[in-house]
Amino acid sequence: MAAERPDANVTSVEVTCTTPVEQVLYSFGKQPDGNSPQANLVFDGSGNLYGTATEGGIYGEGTVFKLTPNKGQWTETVLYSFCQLQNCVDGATPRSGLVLDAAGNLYGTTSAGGAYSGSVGGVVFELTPHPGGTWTEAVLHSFGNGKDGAGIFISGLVFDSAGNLYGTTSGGGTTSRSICPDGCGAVFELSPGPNGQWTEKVLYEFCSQADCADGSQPLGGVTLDSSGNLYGTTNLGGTPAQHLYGTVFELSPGEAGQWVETVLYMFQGGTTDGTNPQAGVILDKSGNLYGTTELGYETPGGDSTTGLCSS
Amino acid sequence: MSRAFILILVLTVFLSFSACGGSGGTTSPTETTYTIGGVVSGLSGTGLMLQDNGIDSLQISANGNFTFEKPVASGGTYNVTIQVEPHPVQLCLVTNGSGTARRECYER
Repeated sequence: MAAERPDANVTSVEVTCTTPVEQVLYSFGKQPDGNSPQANLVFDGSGNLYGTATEGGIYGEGTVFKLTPNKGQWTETVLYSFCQLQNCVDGATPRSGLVLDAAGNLYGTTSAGGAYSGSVGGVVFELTPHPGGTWTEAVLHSFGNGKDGAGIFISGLVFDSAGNLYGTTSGGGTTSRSICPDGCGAVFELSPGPNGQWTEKVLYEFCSQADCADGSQPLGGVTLDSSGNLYGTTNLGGTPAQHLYGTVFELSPGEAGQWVETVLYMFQGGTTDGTNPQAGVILDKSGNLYGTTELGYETPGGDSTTGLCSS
Repeated sequence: MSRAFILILVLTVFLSFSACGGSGGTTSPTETTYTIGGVVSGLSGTGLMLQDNGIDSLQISANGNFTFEKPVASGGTYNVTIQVEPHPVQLCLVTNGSGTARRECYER
């Protein structure tokens, strides 16, 4: 039998407050565990965390590590120390996070090393687990042979449903004497072949337009939508004659394997919209994009502040 | 079936419905309205502000029951959100925060 509550009306709204508590899972610095991690972490299905450290390791050029939880304690294991091979052809100085495939392999990038490490290089690598807890590294692509992209910042990676990897490089590609003499950066795709070989394709070279109105030097990675379009940011380029403040861009697959770039937003350099995004963007269900800028907003020319953009 | 039994049955049904859907918290001759409220738990900071339908703000200073000042018409909607988070920083989440205003009933 239904009856009204003693105090009647709507009383079912619950507001629950919790105080965030930080717990240090692991402190770096016990060499050769790596140090100075800069990138985000990724979970596997068992609750383990994986990440990269830009420095340290056995050879001082960075590591890939795993953090394993056990009864409230976390144990760090170095899965790979970079620069094991002569001239660091296996990569060095990873600055970005990792992605996992369904088989438990890890994929990431380094911002130095590789087959062309005499110049600005970097690699895309894969780490494969083996019984007994050992991991082996394979370089899928070495940057720096000219137009294929390269740079101090090589972004993290994202998979599409077909198993292709996408990312950005801050250098390489088209050059602009005044803005980006070492290359203006690119968006790349790595496609797996039938015999384990991966093929790199540059989807777009920034600064292809006058005054780099199409953006230059992306520092963050790209985000995929369900239609296969890629979204990202450039740290510089954009507003004509200013080319200082950066853009938000979209890359869409076109005809004959060509990709078309559309600048969705040019940061204006004022005090209202932020400037110089370093990270990429994320999508919500409605197709809005969200991200941050390093500079701008209420402290022009001052300390870094964060902002938000939406298209 | 006797007339007395039928009368008792009709009265019972009438009373049951009137107990759950009748007059609300604030009643005018032409409209039934309902107050919107609930309970806050876990609050340790100060400055928590809730809001209903984007217009009715309510300062919360302690854990326990709360009720918004502005009632909602019967059949109208309510949407309770966090307007200002407390300080020192806490994460406050609203559950059952939106719906249609009607008298709440429970089975017994």
